[in-house]
Amino acid sequence: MDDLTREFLIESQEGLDRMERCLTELEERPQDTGLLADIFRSVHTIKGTTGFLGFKRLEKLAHAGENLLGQLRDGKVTATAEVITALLKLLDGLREMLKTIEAQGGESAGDDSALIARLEELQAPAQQARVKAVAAGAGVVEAAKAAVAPGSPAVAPPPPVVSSSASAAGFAPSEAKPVPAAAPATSEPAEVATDVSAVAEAGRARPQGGAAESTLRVDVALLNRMMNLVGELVLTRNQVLQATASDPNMTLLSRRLDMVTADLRESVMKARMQPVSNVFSKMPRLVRDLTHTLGRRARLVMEGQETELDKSLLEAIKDPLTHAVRNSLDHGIEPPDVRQAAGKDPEGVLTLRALQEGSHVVIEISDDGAGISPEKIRAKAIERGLVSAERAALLVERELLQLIFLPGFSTAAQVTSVSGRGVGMDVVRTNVEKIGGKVEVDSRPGKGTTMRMRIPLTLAIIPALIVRSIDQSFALPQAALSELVHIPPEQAAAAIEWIEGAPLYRLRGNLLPLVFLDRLLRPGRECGLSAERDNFIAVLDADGRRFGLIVDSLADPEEIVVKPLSSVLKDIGLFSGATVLGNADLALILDPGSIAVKTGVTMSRAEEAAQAAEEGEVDASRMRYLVVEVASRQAAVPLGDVLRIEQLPFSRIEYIGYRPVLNFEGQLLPVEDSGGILAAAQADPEAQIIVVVCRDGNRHVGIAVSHVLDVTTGADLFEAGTGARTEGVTLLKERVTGVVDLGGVPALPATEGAPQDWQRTAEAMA
Amino acid sequence: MTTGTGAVQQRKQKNEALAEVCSVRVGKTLYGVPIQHILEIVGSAHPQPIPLAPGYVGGLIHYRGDVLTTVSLRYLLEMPPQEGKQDILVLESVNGCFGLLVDSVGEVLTVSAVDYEPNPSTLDERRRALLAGAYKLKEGLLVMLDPERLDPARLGEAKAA
Repeated sequence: MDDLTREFLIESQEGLDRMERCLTELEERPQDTGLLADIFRSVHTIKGTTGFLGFKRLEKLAHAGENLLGQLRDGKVTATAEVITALLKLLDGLREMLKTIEAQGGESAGDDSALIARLEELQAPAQQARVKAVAAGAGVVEAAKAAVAPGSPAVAPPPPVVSSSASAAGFAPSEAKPVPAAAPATSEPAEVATDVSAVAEAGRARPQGGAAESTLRVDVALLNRMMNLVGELVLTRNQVLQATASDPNMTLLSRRLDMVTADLRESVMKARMQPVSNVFSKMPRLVRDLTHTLGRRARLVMEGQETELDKSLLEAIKDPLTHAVRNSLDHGIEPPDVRQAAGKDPEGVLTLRALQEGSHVVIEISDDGAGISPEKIRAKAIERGLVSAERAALLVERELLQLIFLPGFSTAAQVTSVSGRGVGMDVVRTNVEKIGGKVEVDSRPGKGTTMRMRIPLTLAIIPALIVRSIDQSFALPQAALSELVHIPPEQAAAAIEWIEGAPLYRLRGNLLPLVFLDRLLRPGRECGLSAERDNFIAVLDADGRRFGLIVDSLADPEEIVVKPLSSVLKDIGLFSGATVLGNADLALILDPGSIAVKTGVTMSRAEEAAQAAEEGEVDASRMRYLVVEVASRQAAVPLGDVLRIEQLPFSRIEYIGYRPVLNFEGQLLPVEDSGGILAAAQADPEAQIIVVVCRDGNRHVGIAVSHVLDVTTGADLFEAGTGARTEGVTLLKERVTGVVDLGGVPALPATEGAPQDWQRTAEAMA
Repeated sequence: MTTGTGAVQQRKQKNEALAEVCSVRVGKTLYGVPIQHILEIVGSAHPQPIPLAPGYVGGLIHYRGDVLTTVSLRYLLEMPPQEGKQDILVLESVNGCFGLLVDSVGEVLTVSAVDYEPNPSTLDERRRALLAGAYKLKEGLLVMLDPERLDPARLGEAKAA
């Protein structure tokens, strides 16, 4: 294929994409002449160039369309649904032909007369009659035209200039005259002769030409190659940085290399970015076609179209997005009468939203349709044998909703041409996960469904934490890592609790299922924490499945370049790729989602409740407090610091000098008794007292309280005028409450020797 | 090169049926891989082991910006694994590249079709699937390997079937 044809194909594709967008908009605003001009231009350009390149069939069809569009633009025909359908058909026809040309290098034989006839039929009736009269009665005109412009179609569009005249035959010479004059200048004589506004269009197109000069078409393969090379450079940089870390002479150089590499990487990534509107723009047409076939009424709202995403990722989400939109229209939005009966607007709203969230782009597809009933999903999933009845009974609502992504799942009562074969959602998830994204669905029966796709901005380079286990390095994607827990050797024995062989860890009062990485990778190994060295728990959150992964040690966080694995290794199901580390070692990239699935970690109910509670809050700065009563005053302890609430007889309290202490799991705890509760209880050694065991840095303290009231959230109070946060006071349950200052509890006189550091919880790097 | 003179003589005799074969040693046997399948020879590499991978996978190596899966010839031939460094042939197949772990890579030999013999019928099923006949050299047999059949993806399928 020669360059000219290739250029033509690319330009035409773009033109048709634009036309598609405009056509769907035109249906809403039939009077918009700007849109019409745009559409006209697209078809016109195709027609012009095809004539030049000699694609006769394409030219003929484009010409027929152009005639109709010309009349639309001149206001002789209004853009009814019928006309738009025909034009969309024209668009499909043109696209099909372009595809053939691209694949075979030339046109295939075929008959478009039906479509052409349809397009002609829709032209203004009066016009048509006249054209026919001209064709039949004035052979002279035709003959003259054929002579000056061989190859131009037999029926030329009636020129607007002449249209006011009743007697066409009499004007024949004047109609033919401009043609030869224009012929040498352009390859589209008939067009220029009839189209007065072509000049105006050319003028309008000029500013676009200016923009075109500062941009450049680049082969995607070249961009891919550049991305790979940059990836290599990042690896080399990492290695150089590690090798030169100890050499002060190299510091400046390596820092510069570091900076330049980072900049270069960013620029190359940027070069691959495209706005999501490239994909979104296909949707109006899809929605239009589907609403027609399905008998729904829906309005499409699109937001955040300027959000940018890597080109290859954009390609990858095209299919899932299409499926999701199909699904929303078929299963989500109800037929108009049903909606009306439910007291809703008969016209449904389908919203597509794109936004960037950190290193991810979130694409939301939400409808205000019937929603999905979790119970229906449960029944269907059991009926289809996708889950056992026992397991289904254990699933919480959010997990039930995720079942729709299983292959073979469909709640549609019958298979329609649009969906119901039970492949759609499966495809959505597979495709999204293939590119390292996540998809989740959220639904409220009667209110609507929202599907959320989280797509990484780029595939190639991700931040990861390098961990070690079985004497190998593994990369743990930061995206799934929520925190790290350190367990020192002396705590190893007591830190883990077991339920029938399932290890659990108490993380701020919630039980966290644990997975031993070494045992997972080397089945049959004895599992348990080592008492000889430090142990680490990486708390992971994979699609709402929280679990702790126990690793031997932590190394540095690193930006890793993801290299794909061969299919044999992908089948192991624990690794999503491999990477080369700064020290030139290879590391496998762990896939938290697959590990969770493989080890049977599910979403916990506690998690669900916590999430529901979080959803109720909007303010992220709010903290959760344990509200207690100390001698009839209300006080609060940050919940995150509370380890346990102990109820015990007063006899357990001992004194070192005048200081009350508690022997708690082998540790001596200083007990704060500002409320005088212990003093009051001294009379009766059998009295039950309540001690809240808290963490303060790496020591523990106890606080004697009268009652534990509640757990609630509160916001910081601000001092009027200064805007500064007040220390130690917060607003809880509409009351100003003092926050217990744990650091203020004096240390015991003889704490040396007692194990102090219990555990260190570090927020994982974002 | 002990076979050098023999090879040259053969080339003179029968020019059209000569093939160039890279010889590799695993245990005591000399194996051959047609050179047109070989992209590169990586000497003394330390493949990174992959937990839970099928036994025939010898580990991962970093090769020109890509991470390659290697296949352990020793495992396929049911020989005990070798300690220490091994040589790797980077081979090209329809599914992309992969590495073949061998004890050591020898010279490139020129062999003649007249010396070729197909697999003996007494060879067991598993080996017959891997081997592609042998060339009778003066100092012994050069057992030919079929690179296509050593492709990890193919081996994976064979195992699953």
